[in-house]
Amino acid sequence: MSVTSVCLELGASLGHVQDGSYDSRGLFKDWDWFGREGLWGFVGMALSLAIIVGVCSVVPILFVWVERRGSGRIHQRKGPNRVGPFGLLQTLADGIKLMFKEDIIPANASRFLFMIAPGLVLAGVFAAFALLPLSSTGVIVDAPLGIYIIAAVLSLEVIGVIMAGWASNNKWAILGAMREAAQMISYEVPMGLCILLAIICHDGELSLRAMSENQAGGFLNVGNWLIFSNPLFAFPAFVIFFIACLANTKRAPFDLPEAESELVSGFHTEYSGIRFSFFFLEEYASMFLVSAVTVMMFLGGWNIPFVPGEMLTGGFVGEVLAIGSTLVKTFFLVWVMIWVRWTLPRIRVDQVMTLCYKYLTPLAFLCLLGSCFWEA
Amino acid sequence: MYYDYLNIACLAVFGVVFVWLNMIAGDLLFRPHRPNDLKLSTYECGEEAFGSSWIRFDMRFYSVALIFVVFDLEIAFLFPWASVYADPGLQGIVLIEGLVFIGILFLGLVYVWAKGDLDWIKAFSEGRAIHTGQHPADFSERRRALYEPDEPSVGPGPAEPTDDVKPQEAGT
Amino acid sequence: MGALDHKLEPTVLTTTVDRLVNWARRSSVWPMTFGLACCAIEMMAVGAAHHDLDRFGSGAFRATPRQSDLMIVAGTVSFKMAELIKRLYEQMPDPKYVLAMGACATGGGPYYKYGYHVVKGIDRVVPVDVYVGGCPPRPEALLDGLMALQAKIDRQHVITKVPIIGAAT
Repeated sequence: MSVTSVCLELGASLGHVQDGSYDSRGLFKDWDWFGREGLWGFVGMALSLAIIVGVCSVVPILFVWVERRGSGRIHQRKGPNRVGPFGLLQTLADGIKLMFKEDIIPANASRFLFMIAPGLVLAGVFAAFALLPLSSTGVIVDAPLGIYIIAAVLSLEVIGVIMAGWASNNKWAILGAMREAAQMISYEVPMGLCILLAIICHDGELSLRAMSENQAGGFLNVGNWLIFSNPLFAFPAFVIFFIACLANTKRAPFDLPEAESELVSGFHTEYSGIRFSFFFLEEYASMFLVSAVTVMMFLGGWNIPFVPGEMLTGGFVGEVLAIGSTLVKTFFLVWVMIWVRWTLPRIRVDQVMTLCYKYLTPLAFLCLLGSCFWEA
Repeated sequence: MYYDYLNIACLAVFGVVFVWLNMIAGDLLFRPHRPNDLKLSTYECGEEAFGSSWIRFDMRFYSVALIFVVFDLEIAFLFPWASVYADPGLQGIVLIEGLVFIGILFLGLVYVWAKGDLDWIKAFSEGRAIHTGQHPADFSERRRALYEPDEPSVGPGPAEPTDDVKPQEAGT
Repeated sequence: MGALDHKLEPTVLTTTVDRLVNWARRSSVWPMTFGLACCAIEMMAVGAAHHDLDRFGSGAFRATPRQSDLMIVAGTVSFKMAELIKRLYEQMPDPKYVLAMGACATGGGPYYKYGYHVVKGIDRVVPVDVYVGGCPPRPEALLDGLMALQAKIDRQHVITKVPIIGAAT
């Protein structure tokens, strides 16, 4: 989604918001960041930044450890086990090392673009994290346009990646960047179609929180999860969306932009030390992000089997339970991503394009049309 | 409510600032910094870098981008449609409108497909992928055309060499 | 250059910082994907399941010198290749380490006397931190080399003053 279209949409939606039909439930919604509330607004902003930086740092640390240990188990070896219990501090050691490693900007590179590219990549992830609800009030900015803005800011990443590849003035980097750009924008088409399907099935709600609330109830509090309530069309759409997410976060088998055997390290070939680690961080953070979005749209959000939906949207215990269940589901999807990476071989670049345009896109169209009739 | 979006923008800006802060912090502390000409040279597998990398690029990336722009813009237009789809007052109209719009979009996909713009390997797609249904990466037909005679030889004995294989014997 | 490199007196605080950074550096020595000859096969064996270099946090072989810390010179270095090795070494960001693996990289090995084309030891081209003997060395030997490198990293100074060699400490 282009940023321009977000602006267009923004204008259209403000009417809907101002007539009071959407009650915002963000964590700091009453703490106006700019002005009226004075100091409290500033405190709210600082707290949100702290939460986001914390989550963005802890989540990759955890996932990299899971990835390295998990890959070890899949290869029948031990994986990192020298640093801390079960090698838990491995990623921390990597991070500190990268922090204090020399930072190289090649002489032929375009200096300004080279420096700003990791920031742009990170900016999208930070903004998207602010919009991601973990429970009914556990969201920093509860915007009524939720999923739309998330899709938009996540595609900011492409710009950062192309910028990094181009600015490096390195042949591997630019080849990787172009491949990545082609892959990411292509897979946004089936992804967008699946998001449309989810919106239609959730009574036209764009907010992820509302989508999740919409999936409460039903048989054992499971029956209303989208993949069960609309099994004929939403389940294939879930699979398509997940595959598109894999491609969008450039995870194997779609890791062509960073294919070591052909492109060295792809677009971040010339990046060293802490600048490289931002790309690394972004990859794992966006893995978490797209998994959480999938959970919110298709897998029932924070709803748990046997627990009535009302219980999870009110009270402290309910909130904690809801956050826990969202995290468990999300971590499961992230584990599936890691599992897929160490199981499947990389596919060829023409196969990536064929899969997207000749299989996933028509299939997503069919699912969208099908659920139009299903919901009608 | 406008502030919600301002907050998001603020966080996005912080993403850039965060990188900058980290760079400053490391530089002030004890990150080594010992550049030399060789270290700042472009990496090219240990060889001396050959020319600039800022070159013109293959057309296929451009066509992928064009296809994306068309589809993504259409999908962006479909978002408002999807958000009013459940509105009980508009049920029938919305369904028909959506069907027409998605139908046209789908026709676009079919057109692009038939024109062969979805084939990544362009060199062999002309006249092959479309009319014979053969996969563009399938080299068998091309190989047959190059190394095997067009018609089976008549009578016993080895096949006559064709013009393609041994042009110098063509006259004999 | 940071403001604090090698400038402070050794106190409890500064030596703790030194130890923390050294711990991080020794725990995540990322080697470069780079093999020259038969020793590279043994290097691959070290990365594979049975010997598992990843236990030491060194399993992340990086394809580009910009992101790697350790160059394992695995195999015979011909004069033609030496130039490339020099450039690759220079393109690695500091701090960087070199491990000469096998007899050829250490001192020319079997080519020492009549090998007109072989560099008699990679230390004539780039500074070497650890030498691992053998032709080729067993995977265990390379692991031992890595541990020797870790011990060497442990003795580094990051922000405290470097003691003068020979002075009483």
